[in-house]
Amino acid sequence: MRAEVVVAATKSDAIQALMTAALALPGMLPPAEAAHVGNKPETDFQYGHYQESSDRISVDVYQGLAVLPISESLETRSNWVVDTFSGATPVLTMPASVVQASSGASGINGVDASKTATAGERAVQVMTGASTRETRYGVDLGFSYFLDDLTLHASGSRSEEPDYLSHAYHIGVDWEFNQKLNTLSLGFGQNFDQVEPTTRPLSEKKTDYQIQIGFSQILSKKSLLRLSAGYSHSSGYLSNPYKKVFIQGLAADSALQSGGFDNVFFENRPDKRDQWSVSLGYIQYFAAPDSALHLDYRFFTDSWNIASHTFEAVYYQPLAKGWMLTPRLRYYSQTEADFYQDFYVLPRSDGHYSSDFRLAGFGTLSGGLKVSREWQHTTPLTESIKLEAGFEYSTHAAALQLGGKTAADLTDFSYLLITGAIKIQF
Amino acid sequence: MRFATPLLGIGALLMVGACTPNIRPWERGILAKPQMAVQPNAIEDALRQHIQISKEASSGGHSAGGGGCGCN
Repeated sequence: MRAEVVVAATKSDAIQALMTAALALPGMLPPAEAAHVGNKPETDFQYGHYQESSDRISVDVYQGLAVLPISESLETRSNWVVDTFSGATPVLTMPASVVQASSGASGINGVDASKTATAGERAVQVMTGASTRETRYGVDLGFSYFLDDLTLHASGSRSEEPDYLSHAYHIGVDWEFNQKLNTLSLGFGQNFDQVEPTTRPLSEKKTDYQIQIGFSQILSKKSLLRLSAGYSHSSGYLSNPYKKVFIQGLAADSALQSGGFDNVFFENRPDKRDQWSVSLGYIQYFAAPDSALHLDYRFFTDSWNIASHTFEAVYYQPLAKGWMLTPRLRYYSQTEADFYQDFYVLPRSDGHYSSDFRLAGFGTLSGGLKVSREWQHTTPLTESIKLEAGFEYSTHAAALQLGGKTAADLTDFSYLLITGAIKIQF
Repeated sequence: MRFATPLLGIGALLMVGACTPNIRPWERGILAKPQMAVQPNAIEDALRQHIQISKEASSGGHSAGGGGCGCN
């Protein structure tokens, strides 16, 4: 969403703000030009390193962004991403009493079929070996067309990794009205994905469509409010092709593919999913420190009976000489999918099974800090050069679930994200 | 029926918008500051959203997300 309500002024100088604001008055400039005064060519590059605890996966992420105004009313935007991950991931949770022999943290030797698992007993987690290494390449190309009160957006993207190919498009429109005090945004997109896991003879398709509606309101000279709602519908293969489940008493000739051990199968989720979300954002400016506080809340629910709450606060504190400090805090909590269990002592009548930690009940608490420094007009070619460095630490735990814990602690983990970026405006 | 709440909310805000005292364009200098932008950092948000979508069951509330499996 375009946030520059009047103009994208980048200086705090009051005279500059006054002049640019005056230029945006009706009649001062041709409409199309007035709509995007200040848009400049820009290129960003970011490196991120993501590391999970206990030798779980680590990811190196390289990203680029280029914004190029073509004419007074047309702007193109391109994004690319290359990420490479390696490390171990959880593949299965199973009752401790039936584990035949454990060979360290990376696996089990088998299931002792002579033993009977009982509901509520302690579960153990089985990890993949640490050899996994994959690279994903993604690109997204789009444009925006500025009319008087309308901005039209369209973009297309492709993401490719050895086991997953995704194509998507998105179209949207922003309408500014009520003397640009309000913006109404509508968006629609579709994804067409293909899954071909490297370890299984499987080729499956998944499609999604999404609808978004957004609304923003300038409340005062120093505050604004944003509301958005989204719906998405997914159909096709929605399971995770690498995750397995322990199901006691399920016939080996069932529709589920065997996972290599007695009572172990590949997971099976419903082939349809509807998701709804509504979010509310509030931005408040504080004059004395020249800072801004962004508060966001999101409620999410879906047809698998997962519900989640997300609270986020980000504080932007400009300092002297182009420095800026940005601390952030986020809390997330979700309930489990109605077919999720750590393991199954009895088959389910609907045939849906998953022990993937993403569908369990849990909470996440994250905090981070970013430092940036901007230099303006340092070279004849560039208007601004900005360097950023930041980190974020996040802990994911069953005990952090809002309203009480419903899952076992064994899937708890934490991660550290470190980022560095350079941003150049011309 | 699950649409009812967000739609009612948006309807209510549209009415709020109609009643808001006018803030003249030359009074909007603060709103144009970079720290007041709704999305001050697109590239960093894209990374963070990709991690969250990969590790949590929820999505939405943002602009369009990126592709990819996020299976691991």
